[in-house]
Amino acid sequence: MKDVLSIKGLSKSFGTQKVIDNLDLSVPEGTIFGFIGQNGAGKTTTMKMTLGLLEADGGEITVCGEAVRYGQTKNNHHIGYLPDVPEFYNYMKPLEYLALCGEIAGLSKSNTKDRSDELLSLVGLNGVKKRIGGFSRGMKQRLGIAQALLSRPKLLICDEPTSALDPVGRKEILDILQKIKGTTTVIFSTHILSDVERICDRVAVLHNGNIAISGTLSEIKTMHGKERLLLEFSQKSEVSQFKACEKIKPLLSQTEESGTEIILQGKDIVHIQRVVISVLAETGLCPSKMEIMESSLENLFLEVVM
Amino acid sequence: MNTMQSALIKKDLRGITANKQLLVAMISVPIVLTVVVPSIFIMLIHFMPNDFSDFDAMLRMLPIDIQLDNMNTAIISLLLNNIMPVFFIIIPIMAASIMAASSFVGEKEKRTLETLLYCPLSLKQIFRAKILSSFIMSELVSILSFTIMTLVTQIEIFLTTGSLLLPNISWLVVLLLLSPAVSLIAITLIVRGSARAQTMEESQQRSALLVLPVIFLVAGQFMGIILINIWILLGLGALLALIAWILMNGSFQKISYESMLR
Repeated sequence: MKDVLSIKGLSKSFGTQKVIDNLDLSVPEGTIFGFIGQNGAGKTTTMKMTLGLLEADGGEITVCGEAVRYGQTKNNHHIGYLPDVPEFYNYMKPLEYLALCGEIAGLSKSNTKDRSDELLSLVGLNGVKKRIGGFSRGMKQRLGIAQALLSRPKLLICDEPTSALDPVGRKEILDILQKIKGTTTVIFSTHILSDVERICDRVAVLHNGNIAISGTLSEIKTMHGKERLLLEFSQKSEVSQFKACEKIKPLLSQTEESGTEIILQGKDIVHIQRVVISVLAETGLCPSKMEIMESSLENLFLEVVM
Repeated sequence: MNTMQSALIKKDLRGITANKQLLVAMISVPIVLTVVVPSIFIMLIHFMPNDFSDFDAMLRMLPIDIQLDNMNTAIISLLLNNIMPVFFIIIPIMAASIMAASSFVGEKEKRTLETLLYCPLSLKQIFRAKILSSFIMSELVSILSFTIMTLVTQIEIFLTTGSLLLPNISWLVVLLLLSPAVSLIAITLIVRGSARAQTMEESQQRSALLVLPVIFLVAGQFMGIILINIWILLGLGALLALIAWILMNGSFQKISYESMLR
């Protein structure tokens, strides 16, 4: 699969603070790529450098095979960009705004009109005649997607598009991104991990200015994830009795405990299960609940960043 | 100038007319300066024809032939062709400042500039379009103000004196040289400060300083220190045009994508 975006050895500092440190990243064509990181991890900085709006200290960025140069936004005809809180000219109506964007992007009037109708329909704003000033945040975000897709970009960069939205607004945005998946590659930056799990094919976690883990969701879970076994007892004393067993002690290095619950985790869940069952048989302890918990992206993310 | 830049210019011009607050400021100041102030002067001269003590200093500087003629007409001519041109300079300064502050810093403040910055136009092309839209608006307001002022004052002069007293050639220098030059200086000051300024008000304060020399000129006339004539206007116009040119050429070095996104 061809890479739409390729970043090699990218670095960026603000004063003495190194935000991006020798970052390598590639985004394959046709994917929805989740770009995850804590607030201030450098996601937006990376995106602005990709758009040619910030000067990198080092490294190279190519979009659709063309090198990105700071201050040269010509390459941006390949890219659509949706900021976290898109702002518009409030006195305009959606069609007027898209017409302006079309003119600025150098599209013909008829092409802009056809494309605007198509996109407003895609984002559920067709027939909306009121001025943008009266739009809800979710409507503005959807209009932002329409604007970003106007010139049929190969890559759509969405910078935390769902962070400021309510659950309904979030769902609408995620549905739209899923709809365009076949035609446009999407980079979806966020710290809402459930959104990533819902729509992204591939994921990269940005931490300390570099990619800590990346791959498809299943690859990441297989390679980095630890399966977890939850045991719930009826009394707290049973938890203490369970933990006191010699056979269990080696497994206690990575446990989470709260009240009458204990979670054991490790790479070999079958081994953990065998040990636990034998301990339960020996001690006569009977947990009220025992279940294998699938490793979530949130667990993985927390492991990486903490 | 390409169609993409034309679209930006049209958008900026519409942005001002769509903003009631800015539009009111853009209309009210010229009305005060070109309709209210001259009307008050003309009425005062008409209803108090023998009290010219306020104009003594200026009258002494007038050429002998004018002083000997009808005193009412001499005072109105002094007002129309010597005092009003100086007052008038405030209009392009104000219009250019409002428009440029809205177009550059206003868009930065409202975060709408971000969308323009990543469009396929270069930063210079975007800024040239914005400078041009501010300049067009400023000149449009100036010409309209002059037209309205001429109409109103001529009607008033005709009604009070029974004859017309048309503006002299000084106005041509004001409209074709001084007004464009001060507009460009005001715009350039705002462009140069746009990287640092975070609010429209902050950026407008810089160009408001341009009004100070205008006030000194007006005061100088009333105190009899200087009488603005066509040669002074020509000299002033040439000097301001030169300053505008120098400032304009250096203004692009002050801006970058990073500074505009801050």
